[in-house]
Amino acid sequence: MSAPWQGPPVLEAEGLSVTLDVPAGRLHAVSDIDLAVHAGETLCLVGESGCGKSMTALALMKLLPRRGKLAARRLTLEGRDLLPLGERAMNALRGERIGLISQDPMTALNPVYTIGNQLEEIHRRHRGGSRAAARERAEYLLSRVGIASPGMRLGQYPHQLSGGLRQRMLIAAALMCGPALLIADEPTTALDVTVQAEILRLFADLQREFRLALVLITHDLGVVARIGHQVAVMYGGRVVETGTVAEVFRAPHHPYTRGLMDCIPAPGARREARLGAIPGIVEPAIGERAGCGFRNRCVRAQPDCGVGDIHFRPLGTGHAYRCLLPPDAALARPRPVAEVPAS
Amino acid sequence: MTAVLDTAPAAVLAPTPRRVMLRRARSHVGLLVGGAVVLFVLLVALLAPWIAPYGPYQQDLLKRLADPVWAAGGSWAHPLGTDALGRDLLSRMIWGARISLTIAIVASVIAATIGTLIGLVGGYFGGRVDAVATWLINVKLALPIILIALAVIAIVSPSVTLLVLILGFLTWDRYALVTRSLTQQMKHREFVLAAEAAGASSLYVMLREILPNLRDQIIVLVTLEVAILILIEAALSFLGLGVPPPIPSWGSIIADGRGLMFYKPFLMVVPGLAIFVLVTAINLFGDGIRDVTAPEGRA
Repeated sequence: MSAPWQGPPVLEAEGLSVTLDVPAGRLHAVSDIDLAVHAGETLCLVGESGCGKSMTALALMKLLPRRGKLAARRLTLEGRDLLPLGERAMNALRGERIGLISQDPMTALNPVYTIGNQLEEIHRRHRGGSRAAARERAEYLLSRVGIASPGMRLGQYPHQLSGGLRQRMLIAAALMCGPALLIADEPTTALDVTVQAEILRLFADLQREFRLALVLITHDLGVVARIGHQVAVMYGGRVVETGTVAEVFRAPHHPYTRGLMDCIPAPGARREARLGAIPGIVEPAIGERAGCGFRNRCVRAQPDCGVGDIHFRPLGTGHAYRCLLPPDAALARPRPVAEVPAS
Repeated sequence: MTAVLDTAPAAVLAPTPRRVMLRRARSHVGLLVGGAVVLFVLLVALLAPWIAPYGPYQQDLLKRLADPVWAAGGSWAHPLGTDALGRDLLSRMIWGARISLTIAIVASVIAATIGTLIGLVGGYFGGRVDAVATWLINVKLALPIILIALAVIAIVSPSVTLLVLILGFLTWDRYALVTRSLTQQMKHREFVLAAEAAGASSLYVMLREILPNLRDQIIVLVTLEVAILILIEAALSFLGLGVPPPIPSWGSIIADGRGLMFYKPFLMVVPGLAIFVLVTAINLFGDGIRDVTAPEGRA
């Protein structure tokens, strides 16, 4: 099922870590993760709030908050090493080769400028050229993201647009310079369910048309199933399971992934069947940590889980999970949390 | 390719902020009254050479201390009477409006520029840069304006330029405080991150993304500060340390009339009333702008 992605990856990160010095100590927001995305491929980062998804997205653009520190063995975009680049060189890439679509379309547009103004500015910053050329590109992209009468929309202010329209504007803004990599941080979370589906379809269409490498951050496994190719499940700043979407959904191995899958309501399930839940809360990732970050919430935790580093167990075809349980044991038992029927 | 689902007719779209503001402005009494008075004084100041019946320095020693038109011996030749040197008070008031307003406005612009830049830089960069900005603000807050102004003017001979510079450099603290805290809130808004992610430089983000969003608040501050500066200028001129004589400013006209306070009270009452009315009007106007541009009304 894994699509044959040709050529070198557009984005490659190895051993990417982000630490933040907070008053309570050193916060390990992202620990040693590896990512690779090819042109035309969608990589989904999945996990609950605070698992380091958004921090990973910012780290890929080297846009961390000032207290944040980035470390990586390797971070390349289209074969170019990003690690030694300074702020000026990164600015030349941001918006030009990498586009970011941030979480909340309601606040991601500057309220004092018209849509046209904001789109044209991005184009002129990177490409120079006339306002007319930038406007033409903006109009083309707006019609491309499904906006009727783009000419009129360009003259409007953000508050005059609905959430779905603003999200389309943001997508158009990110595409202004034809980037190779698009990072979308929860692009559908703030939208109505009906609009979500449209936006996801739009992403899939645009990706095919522009051969985009897409890093999609979400906590919604439904989104992953719809448009993802590769998925990396994150927990506590680490990737705990990774593989193709088909593989991971068919046979989730890590107890956390299995727990997440159980949280999805299945249409047609018996009314009395209880929806799964993962007990406990995410442990704060402050200070040095050993073992598996999920062990305090894991129904299958063993004493060994708290010792040393837990390594990935490869399953072939790129599918791997980070757990002490051997593959058959991970799959064999009934799913850990969702077996209790109500009354 | 993609289904077009954006079918909202233009008519049902939210009105532009400008239109909402105009609608609110039209029914705001304070804004209208204050604005009318401010506009009137501005026009008088601008048109001084054409509307003043006499020159501001023109003396007529035979007509010293003529009474204003409403008093028993008054005449329309000098509607507000004349001062101890026979200068027409109305003409001096008209020219004085020019001086007083120029000093207050130019000093406010200087102060607004300095304060806004310090506030923006401190608020946006945070950390050590902000520590320096905060330190500057604290140092400034510890300086007593009038005392410093007095000290400087006592050393250097007073002139209008000097007064403008001193006032400008001593009143930027409020702009810095307000801009700094607003910038701190603003920089966590998503559009700032979006701009950074689109390759905008720090300078661009500060001046083009954040600053325009602070415009309304800064305008309100400017109006309030202009009112305060008019009072400070009047106070300094009254103390004889403001504009040097014979230049008329409203404060120096009061100072000139001080000696005759009990015999010809109009020489102090007229400029005093003018200051009172103008400062009140500016405050009404500033409050009006604040009410009209208040963001909670924006859709």
